[in-house]
Amino acid sequence: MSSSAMSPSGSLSPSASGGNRFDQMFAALRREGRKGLIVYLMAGDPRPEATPEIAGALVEAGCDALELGVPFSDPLADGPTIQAAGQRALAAGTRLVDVLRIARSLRARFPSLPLALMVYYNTVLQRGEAAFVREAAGAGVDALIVPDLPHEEGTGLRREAAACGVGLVPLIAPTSPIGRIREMLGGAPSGNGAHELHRACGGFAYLVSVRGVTGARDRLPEELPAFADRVRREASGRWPLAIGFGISGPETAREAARLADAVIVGSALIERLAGGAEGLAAAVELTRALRRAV
Amino acid sequence: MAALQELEAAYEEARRDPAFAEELAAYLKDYVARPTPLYLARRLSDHLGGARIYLKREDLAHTGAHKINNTIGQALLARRMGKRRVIAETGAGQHGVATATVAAVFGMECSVYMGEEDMERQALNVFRMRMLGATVHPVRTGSRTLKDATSEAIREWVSRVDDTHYIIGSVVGPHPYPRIVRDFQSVIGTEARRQVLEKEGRLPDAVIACVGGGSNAMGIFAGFVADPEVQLIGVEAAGQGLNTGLHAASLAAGRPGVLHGALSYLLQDEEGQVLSTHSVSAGLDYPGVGPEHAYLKESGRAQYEAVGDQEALEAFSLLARTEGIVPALESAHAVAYAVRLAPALPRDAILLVNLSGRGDKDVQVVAARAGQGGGGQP
Repeated sequence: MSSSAMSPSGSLSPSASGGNRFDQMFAALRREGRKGLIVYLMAGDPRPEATPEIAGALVEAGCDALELGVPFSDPLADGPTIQAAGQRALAAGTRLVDVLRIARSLRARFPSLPLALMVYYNTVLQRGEAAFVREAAGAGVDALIVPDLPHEEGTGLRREAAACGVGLVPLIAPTSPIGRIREMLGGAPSGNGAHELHRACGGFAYLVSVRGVTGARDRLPEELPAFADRVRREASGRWPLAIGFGISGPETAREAARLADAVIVGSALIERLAGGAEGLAAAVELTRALRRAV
Repeated sequence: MAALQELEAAYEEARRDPAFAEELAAYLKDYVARPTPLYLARRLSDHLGGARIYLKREDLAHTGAHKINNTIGQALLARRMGKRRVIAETGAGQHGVATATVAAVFGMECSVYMGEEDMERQALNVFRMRMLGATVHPVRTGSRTLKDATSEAIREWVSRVDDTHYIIGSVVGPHPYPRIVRDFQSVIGTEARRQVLEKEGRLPDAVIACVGGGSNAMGIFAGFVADPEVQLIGVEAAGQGLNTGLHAASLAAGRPGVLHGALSYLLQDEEGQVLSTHSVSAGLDYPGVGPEHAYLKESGRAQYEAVGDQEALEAFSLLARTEGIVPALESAHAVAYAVRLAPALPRDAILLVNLSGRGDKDVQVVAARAGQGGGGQP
């Protein structure tokens, strides 16, 4: 398969200058000698109509990329904060079409913003892998993160995604043995072709900082630097690394940013947003503080 | 994933170890009180006037249900893996009790996750779990029933994989659980097959079991799956009716989907959101079903029917009054199907029903539905 496979739609396709927007973001960060701040929001929380404004405000407050959560009834990888956000989004009637509409509107407003969808596998399966990827790509999405799809079950989705210029982000847990990390990052001798294609379509490796689910923590685990080291060695420069789960504020963000190319913050922001009338202002302020720290 | 691979390796190794099998057999015999009897329900059969109905008495196993066959095995496995804590999800509470029970026997810490709605309708079992030393965590998200308890147990497990083993209570969840649970429950089918041959000199015409997640059914089916002349019938909960949306009949009304790490039939909406289910029996109130049942259905080896709340309640009463056995509401669904089938069958036909548990835990719900003691009396 040719590594120049691009999605068909014009301005919504991966940036004309070549490569996925995540690729470009990480390249720019390297050039500028700084780390990336990726923000996660639940699409449709508290209402689908509210998300574009909330996301826009956080992008302008300084985040480099955005992850949109697709609400799901049984989010196994999520702690209480994101679970509640998902429930609110579902209660407001959020469906896939709303999430795609939100993505499309963000894409139109921020043409070079790297955009990922965090989605549970059943949602993808019911739509059909090919259809889901096509629709996501058409809405301007650059990468998919599917927390409950084990690497070995993802071959088909990786292929579909690659064909549309969309990355399928590998999630690496602190409990992953070296062999598994190697497989996920394409370090194994076999199957290099597929991994090359995957890499060419961009994305990053997502290091799950904690043994557990999403949710702000006071401190990051002591094993995190060693874990990040292990992954970086296997990545050997071919994969940008982003650390997520548990990052609660500037302190933990600064610590994580030292170990990777980007940090991902979700629950801490969602907690602020859910905090009443001043929620958005508080979330914007936190984003700015994270921006400074990272 | 690493935890699942570790579990699979440990299980494979234990399976091949005669000492493991011996220790398990000793506990099943001396502690669980196996083998459980196979009982000819003569009066019930006469009342129906057709096939003879045999009951496999899992209600007589220690803790009052089949769940313990699995928890004993998994606790031994957990100990072998060096885990000092076990967790479980529970719907009706029987699996929670069975887990708390083995945790007590092996001196392990125990946490059980139970939907808040289930805690209300199965209060006896909540009390039992606490008496056995377990911590019961109410789950308040989603539909507050079994599927949400399962999700929460999985979340807990991923954050404590080092010292904690998650004892899944049914043939659901990620590989290798469906296989492990089926293997441990297959003692039911192995015994039942031997017993019916001893008593009748032949195999039954059909084996009937209720299906929630599907463990008691897989357990008894395992004994007969290689005998093609024996029909295998799984009975799901039709709740208020399959056309009402208030049921839990995943095989009848679901589509393939992924829940809790397994691809199987799932009650879901068009976009894959998992639906809330309903059954008068908490243990059948699960929108998924074990993947092996999906396989048996699709291959045609087993057929799956559905029985509603009312029919199950009637069978509950009928069994109590004709045989002096109060079944769990879950098991009453299997009894109800036998009640449906038996009259039209000849007297020499044999139906073997898995009586998966006893119904003490259900008396409040049954009484409330019968309109007596509905004011919250014990």
